[in-house]
Amino acid sequence: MTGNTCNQELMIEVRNLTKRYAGNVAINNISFAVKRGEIVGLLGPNGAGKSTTIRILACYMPATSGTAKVAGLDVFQNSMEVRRLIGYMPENNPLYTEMRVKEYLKFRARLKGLSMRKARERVDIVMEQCGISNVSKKVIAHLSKGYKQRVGLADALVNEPSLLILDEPTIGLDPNQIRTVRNLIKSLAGKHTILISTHILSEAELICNRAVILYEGNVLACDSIDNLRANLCPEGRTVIEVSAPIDELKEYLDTLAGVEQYDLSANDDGFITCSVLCNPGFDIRLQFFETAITRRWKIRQLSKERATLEDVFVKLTLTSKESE
Amino acid sequence: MKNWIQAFLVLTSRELGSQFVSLRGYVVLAASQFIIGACFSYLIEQVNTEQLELPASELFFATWYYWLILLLSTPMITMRLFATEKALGTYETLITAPVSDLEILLAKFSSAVIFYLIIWTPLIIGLASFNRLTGNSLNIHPGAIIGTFLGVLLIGAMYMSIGCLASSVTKSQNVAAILAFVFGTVLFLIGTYSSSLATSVSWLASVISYISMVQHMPDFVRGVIDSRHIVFYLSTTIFFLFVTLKILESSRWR
Repeated sequence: MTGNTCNQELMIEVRNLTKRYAGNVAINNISFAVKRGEIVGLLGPNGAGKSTTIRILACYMPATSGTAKVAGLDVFQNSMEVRRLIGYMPENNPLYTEMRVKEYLKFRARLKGLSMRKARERVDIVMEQCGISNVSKKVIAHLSKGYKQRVGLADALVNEPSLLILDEPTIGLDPNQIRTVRNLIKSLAGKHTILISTHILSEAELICNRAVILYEGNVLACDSIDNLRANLCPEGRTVIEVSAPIDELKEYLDTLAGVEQYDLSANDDGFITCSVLCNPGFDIRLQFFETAITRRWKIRQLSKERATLEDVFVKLTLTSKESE
Repeated sequence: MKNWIQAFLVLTSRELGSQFVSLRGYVVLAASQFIIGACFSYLIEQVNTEQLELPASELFFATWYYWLILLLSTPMITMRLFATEKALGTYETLITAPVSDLEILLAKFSSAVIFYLIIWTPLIIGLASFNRLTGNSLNIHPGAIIGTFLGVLLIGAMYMSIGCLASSVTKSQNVAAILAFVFGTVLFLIGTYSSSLATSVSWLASVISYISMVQHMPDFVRGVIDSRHIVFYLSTTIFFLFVTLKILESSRWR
């Protein structure tokens, strides 16, 4: 067996991975690692190479070059062992829709090598865990999309995988269903290492401890979400709602050296909403408050927002475009 | 080894189950039963009008009914095997489970062959009741029945392997069905030319008679088990399955 020399603490180890399809580069020489027990988000816009990376890790297709290891096992050379360790839910969650929920899960459990007794036991546990015990006898085709998603998740969990790989688990769900699926994934933290791909940044912020940001086949960043926020966008935006003459307001904001950029939008009730992005270390709030008093402006809101992953992402992709 | 058998059995039973939950499975079954029934009523008419020398089972396979069922039902049974799974994406969950491509292929092939044999089981009842009603005057003996079913099984298995191949090269089940039908029909038609070619080119004639199913079937039906026929069907079946396996495996290194 190869690869036993590697660090046992690492669940996923991707090194210089490249995948080309007929001349197109889907992922270009990417490297990242995931430690045991972490929940890591693979982020990026559509077409960034998230699904390709995930499919290589799940042993669905090989890489053009580079290595990917799961728990120290090469996904190409020790494919069978790796597949036994993984619970994988592909994008769009394909299921045998003509089967009944329990029947399907039992089939999958047996296919993954569980004994008859163990399969029965695990199926009951994962159905409970995913909240689908009440639909166990229903035909999958008749279920709502949220339930189908949970059936897919139950399938991924049925063999007690050490690594759970979920490709866009909340795509196409309504907000309530999204919340249920997210909570479900969060409840799995600690028991499994989870790699989850998504293009919804707020989702990654809610679920993951760490993010790997992919863009056009390259890794732009790979760090904990707090670090990403702190290093890349230390200052969040400040939101101000004020009733003031718009020209005067613009003039005032332009004079402030600490203001990097701002957007103004007038409300119907005479208030103006300004979203101000300040330079690191500059807090506009006190200064603005005092100015408002002297100029007799009415303030309705004056608050600072935390930088979101969205800001981080925009900043990263912009810098990568500029450097090209 | 235990895992291997478990995965194979689990997959085969799911595949067989999926044949029975679809309308298509029942349409194939019903249509085949209709044709077998039509053939029996034709045979009964024949028996009533003239004295027969041949055993009834042979008479059955001397008509075009058998070939009609073979050529039409096999593409219908095999078209979904891989094509639909690829189109729906379930193939991805299937091959990322810890099962080998060979297990998947053998399970799908076996389920198709079993389903095909199920189509033919009423034939046993038919022949038995036929025999009884006519007071065994048609001299159907057990050897002939065994030979008949061996022939049905071997030819059926070869057509199933062709169907597996056709289904593995496309994502569309319709394309898979058409490919399997065309290939199967051509193979059948080549055999029917053997009589007209017998005098012209000798080596070609012998090749064609070797692969001529219409010439093999009477032997099986009489209970004559010719090892040449068995070798021919087994080797072609294994060949088509092997090519299918390589096509399936290619997705893992492409």
